[in-house]
Amino acid sequence: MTRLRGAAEFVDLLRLRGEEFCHQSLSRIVEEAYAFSAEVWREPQLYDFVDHGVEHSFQDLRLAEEVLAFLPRSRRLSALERAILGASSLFHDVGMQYGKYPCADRPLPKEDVRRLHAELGFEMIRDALASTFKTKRGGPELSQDATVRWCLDQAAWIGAAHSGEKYFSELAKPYHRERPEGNEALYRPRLLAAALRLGDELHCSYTRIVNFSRMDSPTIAAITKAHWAACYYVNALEVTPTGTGGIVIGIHWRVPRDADVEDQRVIRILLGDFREKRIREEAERVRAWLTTTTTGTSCLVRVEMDESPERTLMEPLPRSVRTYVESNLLPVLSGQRTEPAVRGLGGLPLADGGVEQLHAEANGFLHSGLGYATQHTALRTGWHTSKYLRCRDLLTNRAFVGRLCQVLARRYQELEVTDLLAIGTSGIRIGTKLAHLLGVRFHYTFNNLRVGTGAQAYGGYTDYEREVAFTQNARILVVDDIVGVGTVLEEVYKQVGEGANSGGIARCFCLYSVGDMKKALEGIADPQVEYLVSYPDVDYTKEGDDGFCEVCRGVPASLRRENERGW
Amino acid sequence: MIALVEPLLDKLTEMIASGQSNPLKHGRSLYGDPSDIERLNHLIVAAQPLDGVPMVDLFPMQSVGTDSRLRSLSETFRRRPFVLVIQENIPSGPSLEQLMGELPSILLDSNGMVKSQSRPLRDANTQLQECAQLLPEGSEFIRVREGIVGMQLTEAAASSLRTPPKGRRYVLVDETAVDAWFDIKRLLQDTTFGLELAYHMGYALTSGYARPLEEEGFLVGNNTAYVIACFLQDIFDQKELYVIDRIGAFPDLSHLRLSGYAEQLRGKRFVLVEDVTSTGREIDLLTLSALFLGATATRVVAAFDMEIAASLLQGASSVVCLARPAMRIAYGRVSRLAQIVEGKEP
Repeated sequence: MTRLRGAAEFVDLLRLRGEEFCHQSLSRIVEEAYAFSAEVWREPQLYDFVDHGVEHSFQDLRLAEEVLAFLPRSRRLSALERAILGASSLFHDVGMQYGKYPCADRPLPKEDVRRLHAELGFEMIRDALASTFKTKRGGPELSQDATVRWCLDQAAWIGAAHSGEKYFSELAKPYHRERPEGNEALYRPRLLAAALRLGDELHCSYTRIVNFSRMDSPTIAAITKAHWAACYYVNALEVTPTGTGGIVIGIHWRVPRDADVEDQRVIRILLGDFREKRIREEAERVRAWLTTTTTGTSCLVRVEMDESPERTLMEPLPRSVRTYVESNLLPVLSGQRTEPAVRGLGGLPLADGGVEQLHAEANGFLHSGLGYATQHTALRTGWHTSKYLRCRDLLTNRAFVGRLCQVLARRYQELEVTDLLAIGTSGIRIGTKLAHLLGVRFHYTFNNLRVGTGAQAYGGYTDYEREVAFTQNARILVVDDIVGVGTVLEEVYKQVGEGANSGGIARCFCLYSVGDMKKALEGIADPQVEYLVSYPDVDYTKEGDDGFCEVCRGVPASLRRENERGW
Repeated sequence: MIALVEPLLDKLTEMIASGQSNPLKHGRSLYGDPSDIERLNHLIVAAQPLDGVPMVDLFPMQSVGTDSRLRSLSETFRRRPFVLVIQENIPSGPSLEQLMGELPSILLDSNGMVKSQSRPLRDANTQLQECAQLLPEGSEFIRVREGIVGMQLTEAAASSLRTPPKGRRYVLVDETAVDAWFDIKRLLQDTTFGLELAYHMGYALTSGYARPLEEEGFLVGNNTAYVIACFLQDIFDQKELYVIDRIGAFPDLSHLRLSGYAEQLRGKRFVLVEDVTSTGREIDLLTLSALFLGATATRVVAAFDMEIAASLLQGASSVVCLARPAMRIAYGRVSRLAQIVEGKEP
């Protein structure tokens, strides 16, 4: 993109010339937002894979209007709504330039800016509306006229709702149905937010990619890179109303001219698993809000991809990118079994001072004399151990738990999980806080995992009818305190990861890895497990049908007390 | 209908998320800067019930600025009515009388007793009159607030009610069988609900956060209560939290020998935290377990009491409960599983 679109193009697209609201020209709303956005994006500081500037705003807006083409004539957007939609498209990604206007007490690394850009942008606009953005942060100003301010404030909310759930949920509250008094102009903020959100997702063709070198960054999650790699093969998106109250989203894809059948197959998988799937998920997410509540018009969204791609003269992916995609992403997509990825957080490129400090504390506790009891202990999983780890005692340290969860929240925000499953009591200690920080649904499981002979250890009493009701197509983060030989984790993957509602387990985290879990996880597709501390100096022995292991049986009966868990 | 607006809960939520230490102290200190008022504006609008008014509970605050910022709420009031509940001695800055003259307010003394109502409340419309009648001079605000919270939580319980397939019962861990139960685990999937429960518990334990929590910490006996207690510890972050589990159908405290708990609990006093109490049996077991470890359970706080029976070891005055939903949700018949199995139950 070499030419910067002008404000007039936005106004013309929105058909605002001559329209007024509360004696204010609605063109002015868009022009104010444009001036603000254009200044923010002048000499941008943070480049990501793809364009987030004014051109992207224009394309978003165009696609959002196409999404709304299904509305019957009587329910089409009012002039006020078009103006606010236009302003929100200009506002929604300005947070990517937070680094140019940082808050004095809140320096943020680039990855955090990218991750939090919706919220940061919202705050930037709010500060401008409060007339503090220029004086305190050196940013552009916004009009202080009451009507313009109200419109731009609404646009800020709608723009912030394009990512994540927080602002999207906020728009459901009664405040956002308010209009300046005395005016009956049609205004449906959730409808606008839904259209913008879907429009944003649909702007995903190769024309948006500006910076492939970002693929080499080690600090961005593989799944994020996969999303953007998939954009490269999207030729165009097309939105067509069906005429019966719905829209069809057509994905036209492309492949290099010399692509063979195998290339085509791999690209199709990449597109299907990321681009197409993501569009479907987003469409489903916003569908309820695309349905107008006053007429009951329901928007049915169908997503279709070309059967045959267009063979285009195009450069193949840069070699470094292609190598990365082939070796790191495609094996996962094509269902090839990979060795379970079990890694310590400390060894990752993302490791920061926070992780190292936590590792030192947890490791120090382990060897402090309080960290474990050197008692032969029968666990409830059908295994016996040589040492009983007192993880729960570490977790009585609230400050440690708080810092651990802050670090984990920063790390796992990237995964876009929807649900968190905590295993056991200590898992709950970590999981409760982490779920709250991530804003995801919280679940825990304890008794209903029947592992080996462990079920008998529960005493055989009847339990509640249990359902772990995950969000539909949930992406799940699993949290446990200790993983030994991995039998519990294996059971979780089988019961939960492949459950009816599950979209899969995105990651497992455990505080301590104390055994070789890889063997147990061999039958699982792409398990991803991370731990804080590895402590392999724990021996595991299998319990027999008689309730004893080979170690127990070597102990004289007089020293071995029944019905106790250790000696 | 009155909807509670809890500025302190809102501030605690933000501080806990950002990892700030001592959130209760910081949250209760001077209230009323521009971001507080803006946020309060949103809370009032968001809480607006269809046929009632929001009641803003500023009682827990230690100090509230009453200069132009709080008075800017007059703008909000012109568009949607609400009531402020505020301690008479905490507004700082000029003109409490001005505030009382402009906004409908209920003034409390430091013990939470209603001292007076502002003129805008007394002269107000029907919806605000409900507040005026609910809190006449000399009444106890905390008791009235308890009733409102209890109703809200009871409705939440009712919304999660589950019934088994026809002809079947749910069996609890102590072998009693019930016709229906409410799924508190499902409610707690939303962690903001857990924090809200913890906030109300803390409110009840400290008479509106006006008194310090004397006990050294919290003790729980099951995982669901643990979830709530984790949030309690976020609020009272100087307090300790321990879980003593496996005191269910077949109590087994032998695992406690393997932990360092005994050393950490000995000589200390704890508040027992329960999610749901029905027969009081778990409270008794937990009280005994604490005693076994050398600690004392001085009080109990429970989110829900199903009122089937009461604890034998904790007197009624020691047990604080947020809601008693048994009547509202028609808590089902309870009987011994053994009787059903033996065919003795009618």
